[in-house]
Amino acid sequence: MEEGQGGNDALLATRFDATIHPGSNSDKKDWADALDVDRVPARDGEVRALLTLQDLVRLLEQGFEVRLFRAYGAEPLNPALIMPDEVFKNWLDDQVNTLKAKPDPKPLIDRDL
Amino acid sequence: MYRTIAQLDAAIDSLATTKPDLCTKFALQNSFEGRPIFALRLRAGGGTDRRGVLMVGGMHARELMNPDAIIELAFDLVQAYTSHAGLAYGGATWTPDDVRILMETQDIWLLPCANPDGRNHVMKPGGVWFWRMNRRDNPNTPCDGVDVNRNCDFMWRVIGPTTSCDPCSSLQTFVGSLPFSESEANNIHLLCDTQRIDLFVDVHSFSGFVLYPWGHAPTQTTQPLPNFTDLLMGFCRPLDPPSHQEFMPPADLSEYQTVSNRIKNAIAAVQGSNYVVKTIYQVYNGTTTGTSTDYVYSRHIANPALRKTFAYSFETGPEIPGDIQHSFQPVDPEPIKNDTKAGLIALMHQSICVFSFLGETLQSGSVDSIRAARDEVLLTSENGRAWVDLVNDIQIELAVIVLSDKALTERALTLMSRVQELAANKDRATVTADDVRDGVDFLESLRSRVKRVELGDAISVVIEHLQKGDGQTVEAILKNLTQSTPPRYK
Repeated sequence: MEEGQGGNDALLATRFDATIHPGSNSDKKDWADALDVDRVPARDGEVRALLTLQDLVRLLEQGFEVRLFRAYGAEPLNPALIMPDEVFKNWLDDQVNTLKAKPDPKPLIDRDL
Repeated sequence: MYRTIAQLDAAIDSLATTKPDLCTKFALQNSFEGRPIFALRLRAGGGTDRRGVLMVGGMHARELMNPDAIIELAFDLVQAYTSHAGLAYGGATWTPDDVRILMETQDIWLLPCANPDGRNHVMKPGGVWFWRMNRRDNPNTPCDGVDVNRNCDFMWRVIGPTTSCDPCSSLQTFVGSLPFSESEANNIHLLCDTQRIDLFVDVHSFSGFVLYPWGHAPTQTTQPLPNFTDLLMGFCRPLDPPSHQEFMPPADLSEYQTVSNRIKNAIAAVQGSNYVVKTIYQVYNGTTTGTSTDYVYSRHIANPALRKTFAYSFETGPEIPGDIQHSFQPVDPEPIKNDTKAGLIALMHQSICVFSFLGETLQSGSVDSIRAARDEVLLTSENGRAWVDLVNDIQIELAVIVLSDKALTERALTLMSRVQELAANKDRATVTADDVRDGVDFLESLRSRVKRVELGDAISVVIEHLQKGDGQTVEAILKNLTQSTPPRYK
C-alpha cells in the first residue's frame, strides 16, 4: 500500500450522519424518492441518512443541501458494548436456577371437559 | 450491553432444556453463512388449534436491542408463569392472571434474531456497526448483502426511497434475486405457512413508532379494487400507478388503530416514552415494499384460503439528534428494552380472544359466525366498537373466573355453541326465552364472583340488554346495543 492509501480508504469508508434538504430541487414534489442513500427513520419526517463520501459529493452535485452532524469510522461495535461471556453466564445461571427451583404450575384451564 | 449470537442461542437452549413442557426450540433454515436460526415456542397448558403470536427481531443487523429484548421477554414470561407472578416494566403492569391467560390460551412464537450473520458482522473484528442486511455474496458484484425486510413476497421489486434492485446501491436495501431467496426472510414465510399465526410483529429500531400496513402505498378504506394483486411487480420500477392507494377494510383499520394505541399506551406507562402510531408508508413518506409486515397481513388477500394475520412493526427507541450510531445502539439499552417488552406484552394481550379459546381451542369448533357478527354489526359503528373494546378490557378477568370453575366452563361452552348457532343465522334465528334465561343466569353467576364493583356494574348493563332479547334476532340485539354507549370501565 502506498503512503496515504490507508487514510484514503478510511475516508471512503466513513459514514456521515446527515439530513438532506431539497436545495435547488425544492420545486420537485417527490425529491426525496430517489436519493439512493441509506435512510433511517426520522421522528419528525426529516430525510435523515447515513452517507458515504461518494453519496455526499453526488447529492451536492445534484443540488441538494446536506447538513452533516457526525462522522463515523467503518468499525465494528465498540467491544465494551458486547456482553462478556462471564456476565452472560451469570445472568443465565440466575435465570436457570430460579426456573429449576419452581415446578411447572398446574394449568388453570382444564382441557378434559 | 448486547448479547452475541452464541449467547442468544445458548439462552434459547437453556429455556428449552430447563422448561421443556413450556418452551420448545425449533430449528429453522440456516442463514447464508450456515448459522442455525432458532424459533422458540412458549405454550402452557396443552391443547391444539390455539391462537398464535409471532414476534421477530434482528432482521436488520445494526438494530441490536431487539433480539436481546425478545429473549429477555421469553425468560420474564416463563419466570412469571411458573411463579404465578405478575410482570412489571416501570409503570406498566400485568397481573398473575394476565400472565396465565397469555401463556395458556395462545402459542407465543419468538424468533429473536432472524439475521444472525448480520448481527455477527456488526460485532466481529473487521465488521461494521452500521451493517443492515444479511451477508449474501451477490454473484458478479463486489457488493454483499440482501435486505431481508425487502425480500418478502409482497410487491417485490417495486422500488422506492428505501427499496433497491441494485446490490451496490447506497440504500443498503437490495431486494435479492427472488422473493424469499434469503432464508432469513423465508423463515417467516415458513412459520406462517406451518403454524397458526393470528398476530405478528417485526421489531425494528429506531424513532419510536408503532406501525401497521400498508408500506407500498397510502392506506384507504373506500375502494376495494384495484388492489395490490392487480399491480405490476417484479420489474424494478416504481409503484404503478404512482397515485395508487391500497384498500384496507374499515374494521381492520379500526382494529389496527385500536391495538396500536393500546400498545402505545402500554409503552408510555413504562417511563413516559411517546411512541407514534402510523402506517409503514408514512415512515419515509414513500413506497416501501417486500416487508415482512405487509407480506404477513397480505397473505389472506392474495390467497383467501389463508387465515388473516394482523401484522405490526415497531421502531424501538428514540431518535437521538445528530447521533445515528447511538440511536441504533445506545450505551444503555435497558430502558428501551423495557418499553419494547411492554409493547410486546400489550400486543399479545390484544391477541387473546376468550370466544376463540372456548369455541376453537376447547371445543374444536368454529367461532366464525360470532366473529362475522362482530365485524359486520358491531365494528361498523363507533358505539359498537366501544362495546367490543369493553369486552376486550374485561375478558381476562372473566376468563379466569370461568376457566377456574369446571361447571362454569361447561356452561360457557354450552352457551357458546348456542350463540354460534344463532349468529350463523343472525338475521333470521330468534333468541328464545330459554336462551335469555340461560344467558342471564350465567352472567349473574359471573357477577356474583367478580371482586371489583365496576366489573359487576358492567355485567349488570349487559344483563339489562340481554333481558330485552326474547324473540329478537342476534342482529337486532347487536344493533340495539349499538344504540347505547357501554358503561365506563377501567
